[in-house]
Amino acid sequence: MRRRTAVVAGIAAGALAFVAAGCGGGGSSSSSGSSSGGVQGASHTLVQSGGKKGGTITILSNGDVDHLDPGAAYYQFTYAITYVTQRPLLAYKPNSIQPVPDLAASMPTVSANGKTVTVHIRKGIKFSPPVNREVTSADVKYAIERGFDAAVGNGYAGAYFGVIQGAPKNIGNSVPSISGIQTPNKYTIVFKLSQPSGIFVSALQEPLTAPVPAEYARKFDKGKSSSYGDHQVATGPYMVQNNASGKITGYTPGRQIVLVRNPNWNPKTSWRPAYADKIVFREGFDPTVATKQILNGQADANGDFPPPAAQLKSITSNSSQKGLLEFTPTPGSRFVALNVQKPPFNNKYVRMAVAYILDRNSMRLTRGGAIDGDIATHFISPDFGSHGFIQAGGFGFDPFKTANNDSGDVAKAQAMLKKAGFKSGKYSGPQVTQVADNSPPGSNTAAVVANSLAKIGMKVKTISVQHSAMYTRFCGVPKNAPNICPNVGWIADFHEPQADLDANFNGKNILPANNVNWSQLNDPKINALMEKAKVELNSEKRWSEWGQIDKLITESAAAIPWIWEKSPTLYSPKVTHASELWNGGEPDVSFMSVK
Amino acid sequence: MSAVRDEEQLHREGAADFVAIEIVGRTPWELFWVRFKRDRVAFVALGFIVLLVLVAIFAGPISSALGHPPDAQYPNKLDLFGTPTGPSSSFLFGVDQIGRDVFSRVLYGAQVSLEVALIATVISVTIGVVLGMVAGYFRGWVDTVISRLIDVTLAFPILLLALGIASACSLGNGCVAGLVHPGLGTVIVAIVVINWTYIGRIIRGQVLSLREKEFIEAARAGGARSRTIIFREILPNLVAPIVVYSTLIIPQNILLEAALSYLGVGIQPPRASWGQMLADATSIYSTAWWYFAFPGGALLLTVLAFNLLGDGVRDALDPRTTT
Amino acid sequence: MGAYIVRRVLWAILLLLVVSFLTFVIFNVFPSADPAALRAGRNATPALVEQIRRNLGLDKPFYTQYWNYLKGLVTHFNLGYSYYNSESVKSEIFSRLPATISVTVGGFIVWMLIGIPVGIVSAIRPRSILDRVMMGGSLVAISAPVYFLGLVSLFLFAKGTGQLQWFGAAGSYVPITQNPGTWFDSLILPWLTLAAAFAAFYARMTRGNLIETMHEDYIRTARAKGLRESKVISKHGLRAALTPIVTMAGMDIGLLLGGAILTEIVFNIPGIGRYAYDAIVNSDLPAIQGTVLFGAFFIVFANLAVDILYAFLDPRVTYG
Repeated sequence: MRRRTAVVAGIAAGALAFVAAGCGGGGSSSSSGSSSGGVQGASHTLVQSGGKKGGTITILSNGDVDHLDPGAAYYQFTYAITYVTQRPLLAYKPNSIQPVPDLAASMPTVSANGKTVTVHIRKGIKFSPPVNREVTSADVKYAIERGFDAAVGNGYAGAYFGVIQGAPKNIGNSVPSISGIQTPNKYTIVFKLSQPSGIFVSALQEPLTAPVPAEYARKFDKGKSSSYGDHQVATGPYMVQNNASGKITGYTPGRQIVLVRNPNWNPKTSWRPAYADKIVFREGFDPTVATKQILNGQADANGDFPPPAAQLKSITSNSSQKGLLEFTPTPGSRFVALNVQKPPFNNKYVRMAVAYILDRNSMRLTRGGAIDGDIATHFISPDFGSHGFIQAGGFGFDPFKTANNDSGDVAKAQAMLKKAGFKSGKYSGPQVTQVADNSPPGSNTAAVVANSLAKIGMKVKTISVQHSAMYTRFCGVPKNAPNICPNVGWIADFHEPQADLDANFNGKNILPANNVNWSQLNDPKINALMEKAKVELNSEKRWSEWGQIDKLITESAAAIPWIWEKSPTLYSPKVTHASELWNGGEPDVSFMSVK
Repeated sequence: MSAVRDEEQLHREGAADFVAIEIVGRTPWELFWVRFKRDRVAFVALGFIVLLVLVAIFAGPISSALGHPPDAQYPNKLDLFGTPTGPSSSFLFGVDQIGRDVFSRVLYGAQVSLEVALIATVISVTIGVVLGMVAGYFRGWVDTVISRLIDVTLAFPILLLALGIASACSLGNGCVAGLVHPGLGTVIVAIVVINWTYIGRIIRGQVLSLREKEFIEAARAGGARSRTIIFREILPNLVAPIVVYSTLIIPQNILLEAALSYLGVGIQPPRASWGQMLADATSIYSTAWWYFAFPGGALLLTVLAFNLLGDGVRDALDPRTTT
Repeated sequence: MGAYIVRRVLWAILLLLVVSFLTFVIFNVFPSADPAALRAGRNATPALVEQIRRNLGLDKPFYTQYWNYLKGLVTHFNLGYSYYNSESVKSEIFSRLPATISVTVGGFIVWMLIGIPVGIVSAIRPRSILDRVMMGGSLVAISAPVYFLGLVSLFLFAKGTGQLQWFGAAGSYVPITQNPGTWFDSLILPWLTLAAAFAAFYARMTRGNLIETMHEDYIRTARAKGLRESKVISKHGLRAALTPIVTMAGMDIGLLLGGAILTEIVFNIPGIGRYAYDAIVNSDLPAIQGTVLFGAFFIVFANLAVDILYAFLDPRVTYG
């Protein structure tokens, strides 16, 4: 789950907020999971050709990237830079959630037993100066191996590449050699897996697979903290501006990142048009000011923040501006996690009462109303389409439906409380505790939750802390976990349900610290179904299994999903662009051109 | 001159604005009252504060008569984008981002401000007076320890110090072995840690000069114990400055509480605090002016009233000052 | 005299050490979030989180952590690296210093230009209508929190969001080297907002000091010599009345250079105050430690400078 910035405004800025971005992802097989990600507001525009060469594109952001190092980057805003400067084995065209070969010459092939994955890479791709040599499969091997070095600190290597034979379980401060990554020749890389993995091929689109030249990078990877990010070389059409020795000069933390053309990039090897000569990411902008600047053409698109609600309102009601705005669905949901290990939510019926009483409509209003997305009725979001959303019952699956627009139903909730043993239909147990954000919109959402529960007599004590503390001190630490975590959510790294559900609801994943199974759900039946679905190589079967798992989790009411979000991207009237679907609407600058 | 400002300038070595006062001795309170009554501005300020206290006490009945319960949501008062609507006949001050009555929340916010004003002031003045007297009377190493403690506290960027204390204490069961709970308790601790130093320093200075006076010498020569001298002889002579500084420090404490709540480490929801409301209003100030204007206005008027009162009290106790 | 200065400097250094130690205790013993988990991300394996914890030195007892920190600080003037984005805290602070200096110095000029003349005018005719209006107004300014005043000024005057679109909005700050016009425009509202309370305070100080001075014997002597009143005020009165104010201005600037936190937050100015606040939000301990120490340095340094200056200027100060 990549990092994603929340609605930042005023003092909330700078907090790393809710979850990660979406990425498309077909399975290892050839299935063509249709891209169901709908774009509202504007028509699909894919400018693959015909854009004007030259000029500068400016993207505005509120905060900064997480890490420039492609091996450490794990944030959708950073990915907007990573994917145009680096070439992972696979990548996405902007209007698709289906990865296609980028550094790879063709899609990977998977052996019948699912334990061998072979990828051929393109010939003639060169690193940017000062390295200037051709990329080989050994560079990909080194790139993935350094993901298991704590000095690099990659956040997902273990989750997706831990199945490779010989991948270290214990992380140290050195780049390990992984026996299961083999390079039989300069252009072939073979992954030997310890067990079949339904998502391994999808994961090859992560930037960790972008080549890193070992002979150049090793000296930067030494020690406790790698400085390769400040000396990185590129393979994509652009590179972060650097000097002759390779030291990055185009990055001023919190202020700007300058991308220039990579002189060693060969357009014939790539499907990226890369129209503009220069891309400037300007940081530290107030969302309102930045939105203004984009509308009047001083800048070209928003990076890490959504335009504030007031401006969305005025833009969507202005016919000449409406077309500049696009809404991209994000693959995941926000939910209210109920701690099933402690009373009162160890009782299924009390949880179901909560599911019925939550005013999900008001909760959604705290984030901007219907424009922010659909009310979620289960976990796998609509943009997964045939990758699990349909199988879970689509929009029709809503086990806690209420008649009044999802605003909560006292009668149904009371019926559940009676089943739970509260004869009057009113909750009469001890007060429950929730740990919530101390700034809007999270604090507002939590207030709605508390008010909803008050309707069935459940008193809620709210402890409000910084978002980071909410996760790392309370909700992510089972021994400190409150009864309710109202401000959690998860967005999958790619469109495979495993990336959406496993971490949050597999009982195996309850950890003493940095836990993300916030409900602490440990249902043997669900756990077993997940382990089975993970190794299923047939994607149709796999998605249908995960669809069933989604149903079971939703019905358990261990967590109550309430919104499937869409992220708004605003483009200036002075540029053409392609609709970006896989990275939460982050502008794909390699497809933007100055009009 | 009452100096009560928020932002970082609270902190001031030497507290130059306080030094205008001299010990008045046993000023007859009648005289004080006569002078105070003549100061119309201060009298109006006192009236406002009394009104505020009543509002805080009767926030419940008033809001149910003129508004709505402070935590109740009225989602139909939000538009499709979740933007709140402004003042109307049933919502005098409009609603906030989740459709709560801003009028009622402003009323309840007065409770927080006054509680902090009262409790934090009493505690910091008590600590400041006792430590200041001890330091000034005994001098020597006791004085050195206390004075250096004040120096260290004043060397901190105080807002950062308060933020640190407040966020450390906002976790779980709070800090100091669970004695200080997140919310009001935390805010009070943070304020006291900072504000006792101002009083402490001033009282110390006053005691240093008092202890050389004949009547103290006489008491000491008469074999009185130190504790008796401090509390029986010195303290009564400090009543006037203590009263003045307490009134002057009240608005400072209100502002500090608001600042901490504004920065997200103050009062815990769902309790309404003016600073917290201002923080929430920051992201929508351009479309929902009522959400910052009313809590902010209430905060300003309250602080202003205490400042005016402080001025009046000081003038009445010490007519030589020139305000 | 020399010994006095040496003693004051040593005390200042000791003070900074104590401040840094207490900061360490407050923030490292009770951090609000877990830096290792934050750095590792939510999809990380426990092994990675633990190794990062070791790399950040968080598994060591806090006195060891403090000792290592101090060693880096003293031997290399190294303030450590941000837990949040691994950038050097020292370079982050210095890259933000121009913004903070812009806010502080501009605000200082505004508050001096308003505060002192207002104070003088009030002092010349105490208890006149003008005096009452100005002193009443100043009390209002003193009572208004910066963040409220900031919101009001943005609501009224900010381009894009205000009712009258006159001045740069929140977040429009650019470095002066990039565009002096935009720089100036973006800082008008922050300067006025920051200066409001200071100007009011300085006006009241000036007025009080000047009135007091004008009752001194030497002023009467000057008047008796037949000097014109304006001469008496400007030549004799002001000099004495303004000395403590200049001192105070020095200390206030020192204080603000450590970061005008609230002003920088309301107007979204990427200065040190904003950095400090973000650091606290992100539990970025090295950044918190660095900014607190930096702020404390200016406070202590300003006090030290004032003390030493006084020792030179005022022969009555004993160096005891």
